[in-house]
Amino acid sequence: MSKEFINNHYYVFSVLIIFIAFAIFCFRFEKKRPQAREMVTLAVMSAIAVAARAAFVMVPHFKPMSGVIMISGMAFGPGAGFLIGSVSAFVSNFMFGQGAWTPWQMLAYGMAGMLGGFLRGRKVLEEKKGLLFIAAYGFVAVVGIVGPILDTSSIFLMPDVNNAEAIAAIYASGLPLNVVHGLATFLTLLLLTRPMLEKLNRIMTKYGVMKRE
Amino acid sequence: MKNTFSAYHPFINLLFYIGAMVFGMILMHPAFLLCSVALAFAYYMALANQKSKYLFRMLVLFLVVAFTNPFFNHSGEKILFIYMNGRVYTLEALCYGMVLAAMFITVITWFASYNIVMTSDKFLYCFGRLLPAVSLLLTMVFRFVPAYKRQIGQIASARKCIGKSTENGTALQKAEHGMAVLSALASWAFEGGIVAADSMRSRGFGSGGRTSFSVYRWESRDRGLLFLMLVLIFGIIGCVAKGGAYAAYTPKIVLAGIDNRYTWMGVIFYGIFLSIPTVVNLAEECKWLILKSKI
Amino acid sequence: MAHFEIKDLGFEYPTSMGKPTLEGINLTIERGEYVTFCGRSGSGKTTLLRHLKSVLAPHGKLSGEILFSGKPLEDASLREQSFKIGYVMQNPDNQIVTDKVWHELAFGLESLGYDQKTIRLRVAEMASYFGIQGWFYKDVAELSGGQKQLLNLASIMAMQPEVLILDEPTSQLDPIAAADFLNTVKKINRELRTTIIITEHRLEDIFYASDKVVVLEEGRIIAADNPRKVGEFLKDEKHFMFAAMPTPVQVYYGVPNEEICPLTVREGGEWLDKIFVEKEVKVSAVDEANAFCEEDIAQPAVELKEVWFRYEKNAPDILKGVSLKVPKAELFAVVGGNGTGKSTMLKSICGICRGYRGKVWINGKRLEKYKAAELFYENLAMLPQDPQSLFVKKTVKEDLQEMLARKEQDRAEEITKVAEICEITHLLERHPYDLSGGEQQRVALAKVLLTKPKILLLDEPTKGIDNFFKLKFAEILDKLKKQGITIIMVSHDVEFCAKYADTVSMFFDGGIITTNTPHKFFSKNSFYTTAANRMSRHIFENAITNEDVIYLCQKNL
Repeated sequence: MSKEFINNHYYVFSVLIIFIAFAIFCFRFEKKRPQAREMVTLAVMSAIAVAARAAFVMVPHFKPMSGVIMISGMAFGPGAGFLIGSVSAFVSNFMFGQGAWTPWQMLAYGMAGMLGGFLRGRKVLEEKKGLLFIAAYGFVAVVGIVGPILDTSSIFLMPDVNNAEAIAAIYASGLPLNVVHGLATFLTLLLLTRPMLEKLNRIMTKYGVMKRE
Repeated sequence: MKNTFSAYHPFINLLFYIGAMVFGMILMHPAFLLCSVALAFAYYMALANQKSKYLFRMLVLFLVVAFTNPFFNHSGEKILFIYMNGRVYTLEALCYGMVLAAMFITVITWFASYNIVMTSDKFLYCFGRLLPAVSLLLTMVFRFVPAYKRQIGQIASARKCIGKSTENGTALQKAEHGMAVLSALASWAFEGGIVAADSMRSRGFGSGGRTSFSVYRWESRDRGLLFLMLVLIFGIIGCVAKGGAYAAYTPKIVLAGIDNRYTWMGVIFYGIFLSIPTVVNLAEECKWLILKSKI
Repeated sequence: MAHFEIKDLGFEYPTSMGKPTLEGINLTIERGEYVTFCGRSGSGKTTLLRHLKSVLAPHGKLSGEILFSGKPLEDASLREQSFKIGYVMQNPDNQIVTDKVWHELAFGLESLGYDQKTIRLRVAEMASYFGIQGWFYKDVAELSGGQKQLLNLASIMAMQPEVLILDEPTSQLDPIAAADFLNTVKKINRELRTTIIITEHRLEDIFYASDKVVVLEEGRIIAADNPRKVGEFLKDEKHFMFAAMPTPVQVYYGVPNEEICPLTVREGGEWLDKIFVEKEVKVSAVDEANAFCEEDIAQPAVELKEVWFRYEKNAPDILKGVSLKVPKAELFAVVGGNGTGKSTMLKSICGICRGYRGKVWINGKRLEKYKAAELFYENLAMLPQDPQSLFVKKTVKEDLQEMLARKEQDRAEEITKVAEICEITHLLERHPYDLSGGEQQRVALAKVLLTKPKILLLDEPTKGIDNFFKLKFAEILDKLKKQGITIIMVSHDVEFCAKYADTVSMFFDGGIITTNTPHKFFSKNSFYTTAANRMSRHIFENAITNEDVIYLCQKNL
C-alpha cells in the first residue's frame, strides 16, 4: 500500500490500529476464562459509570463517567480499568448512537481506567492529602490525555487537517470543554473515591470475593 | 416503511455496514461519492422520523466543512482570493473540502441508519461466538444500565421526600447531592451484583464449554444476499486496485475519467452494493401490494 | 432412597464467634415432596437452603453431611448440581443477568454447553409452559416484578431440575402475582414430580399444599411434620411461630372444638358450618366504630381535590380526578391492585408528581405555596417502598447523622430518641445492608422521622417483612399516631390494614372508589377482603380479623 494512500486515510488506518489493540485485549480477556464474580464486578462498575450521569441531571455539562472509571481502575488495576472504561464508552454510545467517534471514545475512557489503575495500592483511605492528590491527578489526566484523545477523533475525521497549525487550533478549541470535564472528574474523585472504595472493600470482605487481578 | 433489510441475518447487516463505511471513507472519486451520498440518504430517509430537520443539519454541516477546508489547506493552483498576510484560498482546496464534507455526511448518515438496524443484541450476536466472555459482559452491562438509572431516580425522589433535595442549591451542592445518590446506588449495585454472580454460578456458569444461543436463523435469502455482496465487494476492490477510483485534488485535480472502464464498472458495482437495503425494502413493499391486490 | 438426606448438619459463620447458625439438623426429603421451611428472620432458613447447593453454600465451619440421591452432595460436580438442583432467590431483579427475556431463558443451557437446536426446543417448551410467548422478545427492564420472578423460575426449569429450592420467592411481589407464582410452583410439583423446598413468610398460599412443614428456631429444627401436626405442635408449645400460621389454623385453635383443623378458607368455612350446625347465632357482629364520613372532617391533614396526573403529554392519565380528605392523627390506608396509581397518588401528595389539574392542601395550605425546605421539615415526609434507597453510609448511625448535618448540638440526643421509638438502638453500629428486611424498614423509618414529620406517607411498608416485624412495625405506628402524626399508607396487605388502620380507601383506575372504617369496608367486599372475613362471612356480619372470628365464636358457643 502506498504511503500516499495511508496518508490520505488517517482515519481508517488509525481506527484499524485501535481495533487491533482492542482485539488483543479482548482475546486476552477471553483466554482468562473470567469467573462469574469477575464478570459481575466488571459489568457493575461499567454500568455505574454509564448510568452515573442520571444522578446529575440538574447539573449541566457534568460528566462523572471518567471519575467513576478511574475509581474502578484504582480498585481493580490498570487492565480491568481499561476494560471497564472502554466497555462503558461503547455501551453509552449504544444509547446515544454509535458514530465514527466510538473507537476514540473507547480508547479515551479506557485510558482513563488505565491511568486510574496506576494509582492502585495507594492508601487513599488513610492518607488525608491522598484524596486531594488523586483528584488533582484525575484532573490532569482528563485535561492532558483523555480529553485530547476524544478531540483527536475530529482531527482524523478530516483527513486534510495535517499541518501543525490546524491541529493545534483543534486541540485548543477543545480545551475549555476538557477543563469542564476535568473539573467534574476532580469533584467526582474527591467526593466519591472514599465511599466507593470503602463499599467495595466491604463487599470483598463480606463475601470474600471480587478478587483483584 | 417496514425495514425488511433489518430482518435479514445480523451478519448480513454487519457486512453491509462494514463495506459501506470503509468504502465510504476511502473512495474519494466524485462518481463514487455521489453514489454513497445518494444511497445513504435514500435508505436513512425511509427510516428517519425527523426528515427535514436532519437534512437541514446535514446541509449546514456540508457547507461548513466544505468552505472552511481551504482555510486550513493552502495548496492548489487556482487562487480564488487572498486573505490575512498572503494566505490563499484555492479552488482545489474548496473542491477537496466538498469531497471531505460529502464523505463526512455520508458516514454520519450510514451511522444513523446503522443505529436503527444494528440493535445491541444483533451486534452481540455477531461477536458472541468469537468473543463469548466480552459479549456476555456487554449483555450484562445492557441489563444493568436501565436498572441503575431507575434506581437513581428512586433514590433521588426518596431523598427529596426527606428534605434532601437541592433544587435551589448551588452547582456544587447539586454535585454533592448527586454524589450521595451515586454512593447509595453503589451499595445497592454491589449487593445486587453478589446475587447476580450467585445466580450465574447456580445456573452452571463456569462449568466449562459455554455455547451461545440466538434467536436468529440463517435462511436461504441470507445465503443469496451474502453471495451477491461478496461478488460486489470483490468487484469494487478489483476496480479500485486497477485505479478506477483514483482521485487527487491538491495541488491539482486529477480524476480517473469516465472513459476508464474500471471507473464506470466500479461505480455500477458500488451503486448496486449500496442500494441493497433500499431495494430489499422496496421489493418487499411491492410484493405486499401485489399480494393485497390479488385478494 | 431419599432425595436429600441431611445428617447432623452444623454450621458456623467465621464472624459469628462461636454461635452456630445451624446445629444438629437431621432431615430427610423424599423425591417429589413439597417441603416448607418456616421460622423468623435470622433462624437460619436461608443458610440451610444454601447448603443444599454447593456453589451457593456460604463459607464457614461445616459439620455433618448432606446426601443427594444417596451420594455426598459435594461429589456431584458443578455441572451436575447446576441442572439437577434449581435455586430461586428472593429478589426478582438481581437474579436476572441478561438484557432480553429469551436470552435469560437460555442462560443456564448456554452455560452447560447445549447446542443451538436443543436450546431452541427447551426454550420454546419453557415459554409455552409458563405462558411467556407474549413477552419473549422483550427487554427484561420492561417486565413487572411478578413476570421477572416467573422468568427466573422458567430459566431454571429450562435445565429440567429434579429439585427446586425457593428462598422467599414472593416476598417482593404483590399478592396476586405471588399467588400466581406459587400456583405455578405447585403445578410443577404436581405435574413434573419436581421436589420443592421452599421458605415463605406468608404461609396462606403454601401451607395446605405442603407435605412437610419444617420449623426452624435459632438454627435448630423444632418441628418437622405434616401441616396439621405442626399447627398443633406450635399451639401446644405456645410458640411465637403460631402467629405466622394461616388464618383458619389460628381461628381453629382459638375455639374449643373436636373437629379436624382446617387449612384453607374453604375448609375454614366448612369447619364453621360444622361447629354451628343446629346452633343459633346470637351475636353475629362485633362492635365497631361509626361509619366514616368525609363531611365531618373539619381540618384535614391532607386534602386532594380532583387531581389529574400523567407522566407525559401523550401518556395515559394515571390519576383521574382523585379526591381525598385525611383526618389528623389517623392511620389512613389506601388499598388496591397493582398499577392502579396508588403510589403515584402518594407522590402527588409530596409534590414529586405534580398534577396538571386539581388541588392539594397540606395542613390547610396549598402544596404549591410551600418551599421545599418547609414542606419536608417538621411537616411531611415519605418512607419509600424500598428502604434501601435511603441508605448512603456505612453504618446505621452515620446514615441517621446525615439527616442532622446542619445542627451539630442535639444530634446524639435526637438520634437516641428516634432509635428508641423504632427499636433500632442495638443496630446503630451495623451496616444497613447487613440487616434483615424488617430491620432495614425500621432504620429507614428512623431516618424519615428525623425530619420530625406531622404527616407520614408510607409506600407498601409491609412488603417483604415477616409477621413479627409487622407486629413491631404496627406498634411503632401506634406510638407515632399517639404523638399526633397522621399516617397515610398505601398497601396491598389487606390483613394488616384490616387490623391496624382507622380508615381504609379502595383505589381503582386512578381514583378513590370508596372510603370507610375497616369493619364496614371489608365486610362489604367479597373478594378484596381478609381471609378471616371470607371464611366467616356466611355466619358473621362483620368479622374481619382472626380475633373477631374467635371472639364471635366464643360468644356463641
